[in-house]
Amino acid sequence: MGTQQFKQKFLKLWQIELVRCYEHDHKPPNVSTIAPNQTNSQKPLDTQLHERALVLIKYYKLDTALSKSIASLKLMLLLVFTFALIFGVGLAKAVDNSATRELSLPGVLLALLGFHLLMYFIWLASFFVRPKQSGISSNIIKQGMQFFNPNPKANYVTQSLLHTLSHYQLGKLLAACITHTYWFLLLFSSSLMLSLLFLFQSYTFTWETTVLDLPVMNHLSELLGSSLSWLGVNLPDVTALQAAEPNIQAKVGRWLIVMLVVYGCGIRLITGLISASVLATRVQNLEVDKTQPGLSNLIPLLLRGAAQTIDKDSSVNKQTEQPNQPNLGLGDYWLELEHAQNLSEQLAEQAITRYKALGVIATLTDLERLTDQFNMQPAASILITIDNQLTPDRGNLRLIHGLLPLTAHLHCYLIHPQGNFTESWLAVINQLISEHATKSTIRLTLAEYDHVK
Amino acid sequence: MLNKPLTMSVVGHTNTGKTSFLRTLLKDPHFGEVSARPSTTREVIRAQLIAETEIIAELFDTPGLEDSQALYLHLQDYITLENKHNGPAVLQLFLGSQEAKIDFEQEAKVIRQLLNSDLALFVIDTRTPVLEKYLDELAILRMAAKPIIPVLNFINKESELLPWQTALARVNLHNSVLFDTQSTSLAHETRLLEQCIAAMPIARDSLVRLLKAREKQEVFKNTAAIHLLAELLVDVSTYQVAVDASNESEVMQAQLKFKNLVIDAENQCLQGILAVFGFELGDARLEQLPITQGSWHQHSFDTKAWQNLGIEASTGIVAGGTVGAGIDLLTGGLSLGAGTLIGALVGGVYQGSKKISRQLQAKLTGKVLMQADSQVLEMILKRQLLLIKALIIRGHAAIEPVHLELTNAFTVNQAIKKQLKSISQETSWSRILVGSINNSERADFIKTLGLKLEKLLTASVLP
Repeated sequence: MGTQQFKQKFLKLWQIELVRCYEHDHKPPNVSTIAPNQTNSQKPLDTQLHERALVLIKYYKLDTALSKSIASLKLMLLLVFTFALIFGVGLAKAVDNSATRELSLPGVLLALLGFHLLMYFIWLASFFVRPKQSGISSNIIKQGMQFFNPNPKANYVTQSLLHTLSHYQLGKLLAACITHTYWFLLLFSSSLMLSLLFLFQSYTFTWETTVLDLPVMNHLSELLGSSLSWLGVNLPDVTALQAAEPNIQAKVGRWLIVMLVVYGCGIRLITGLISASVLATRVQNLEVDKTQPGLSNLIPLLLRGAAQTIDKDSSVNKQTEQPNQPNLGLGDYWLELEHAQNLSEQLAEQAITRYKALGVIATLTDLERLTDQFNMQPAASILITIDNQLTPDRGNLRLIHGLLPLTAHLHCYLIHPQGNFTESWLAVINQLISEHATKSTIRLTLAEYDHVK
Repeated sequence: MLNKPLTMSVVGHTNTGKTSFLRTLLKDPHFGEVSARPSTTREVIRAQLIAETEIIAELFDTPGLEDSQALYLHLQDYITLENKHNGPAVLQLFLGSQEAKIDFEQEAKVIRQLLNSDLALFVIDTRTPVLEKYLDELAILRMAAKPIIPVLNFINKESELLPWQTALARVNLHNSVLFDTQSTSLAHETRLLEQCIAAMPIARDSLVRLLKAREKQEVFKNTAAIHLLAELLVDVSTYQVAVDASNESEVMQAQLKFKNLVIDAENQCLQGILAVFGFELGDARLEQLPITQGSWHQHSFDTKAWQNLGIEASTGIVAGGTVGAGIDLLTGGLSLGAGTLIGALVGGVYQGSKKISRQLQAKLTGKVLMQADSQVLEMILKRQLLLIKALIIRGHAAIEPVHLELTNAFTVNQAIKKQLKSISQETSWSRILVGSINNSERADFIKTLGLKLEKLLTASVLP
């Protein structure tokens, strides 16, 4: 993953978090801003969340605060790295503080590498400890960003940056990259400065001691020397060093610079690069944590696919034939619509007493049969019992409609007091009444209100 | 392998719940229009089933078949000696006719779409008897020569499925799927997709991917809702306020403010949970819940509300209507003896004595500390968990209101109570006044608590 890709991915996470933080305190005004890209549901959710964040960063006017904060961060890094270079030069100059140009080799080594190695090992140890609170580096970032960009919206930017770093466990790695770069620059400028000093000035290295005897010192120098022997750079022994021969001094000077480059810059550079690659891999594999409050509620909206009308309703006005309902007729009849209904005893008794049962009307053939029967002599009234647990449709309405020319009075009776489709039946029969007849010729009765009489 | 999305037409008689069925499959309570009126859907509407970023299937919601008897008779007119065994050809002839444009416009749309689809999902309302018109519908659909999967909708304990299953078997349809758009589970969807695989083996890989994505989404919903609840519990149990103990009116005002902030936090969590399950504020299906405009009717400091959930008020809390009910007042160590006081001074530096040191600090500065009572936490926990449970077992398509009984259905175990109590002094963990907190210990705690809550919920959802 290149630096650019890493930056983009991290920025995405940060921008999504920024909007989440802001919306925690400021409710989004409406649904369209909650999920402005509902039509893009085939895009990954992370992409959709990022697109949404980009829209809302502008909408909430957070873009200026964000870009200013990024600039502040860059400036802070620049300052930190500039200081590293200056400190490095300072460190090299500190070595050269003796008027006699006599340098104690162990002292110089300790000054140049001692603190760096101490900090390095502390860093290594800290890597295995998870901080409970936000770490020192995040406090520095917070203070720094607030110093450079002190406005309420920038607070959200800082808050979201720190949350992104801690929530996705990137803070430690990022801090590692920054600190190793810092030390690398410091030690690099130090070694460069020292090389320049050694190039143009003459120094004498000594190995002095008050308490150690010669064999111990020799042993120590052998140990030190072996640390670079794998590179073919050797440290002269103590006796040779104490003889102060110029070619030996040059050898020691070169050895010292290589030591600084390898165990100073080298260690920091390698660790920094490892940290950077681990960070890049982690960021590359990161997905937005969508279970977080403020994001989880958006997911159902983003998962919804867009619906599209394929075959539109033509709204053709279908002219139905106006049936001629007879004014008079003979006999009262009872029909059951669509199927033999399980009527209550009371209702069945009333129907049988008052009407002559004609059975079920379910098909067009049934209607034809009835048309043949009543064609010459229409009925005075037909009671049609309707199962209002079933929906009205064009088919059963066609049957009811077909009965109108066969009777002077049509009585529609909805058999269930609280059928699933009572309202629908009321609507369609009332429409039938208004379109084709007067209220006196079609009667509609609900089971709970009336009897079939 | 199928290299294009599988196309499925959702067909059936009017008002059998085709759109509701699609809402459930699409997890979109706003798809199409649903009502008890017939012919609600008059157009063919396309929707997509997506797994991650891949369009697995295109679903077509079609108008209801309404006049199948007349259409079936009418179709006989197009049968000739040449096409008597070629149903699609007969249907094509019909589609070209004037009747398809006027008398059977709605049915023509269904047939046209079916001819362009890979398979048909025939939705049946199992509450209705097997009528001849439904069999006519099936006969017409079978003429399209596409695999048909009957979907037996609105199943419940009283449903008589046998008449339908027998009728379907008579026309060689043995692969019906039980489905209830009112209360569905992943198992229903899995069975449906398995039948789709059986009917269209070529689409197996993509449908399996869809199934996996569905499983992931279900897990996500539950985890996200639980996470919201765990966050709320941590926010409330660690929320602490210090006020001047000598000023009674200030204490009262602070109590009121404390209460309102906790209530707001709970309502925000409630809205989040509803949104995770695809509900928006003002949704008519929420009208029977004890919720108005995203707020619980009875707040969590109401001792009457505690009773329903089996939460006992401690002896100190008798007057439910008083401002202080549900708020634990830590009186700044007024009752601390000298020994404890010294112990507190010594131990104030380490974690375990945070409570005493805070009380001591309050005592020295003349403050009173406020914190939510354990009953309030239990109330919040139980109520939200009951809501999550109700939402988990409910279909997305259900047009009836969500039903929620606030009863003592959950027993909050001591481990959870202890866990919540253990963080009461982590006052920097509460987000009630702060937008975002970066604390890894808090994050770990929420994770652990979430797992415990999930366990509690799973135990209650599973039969």
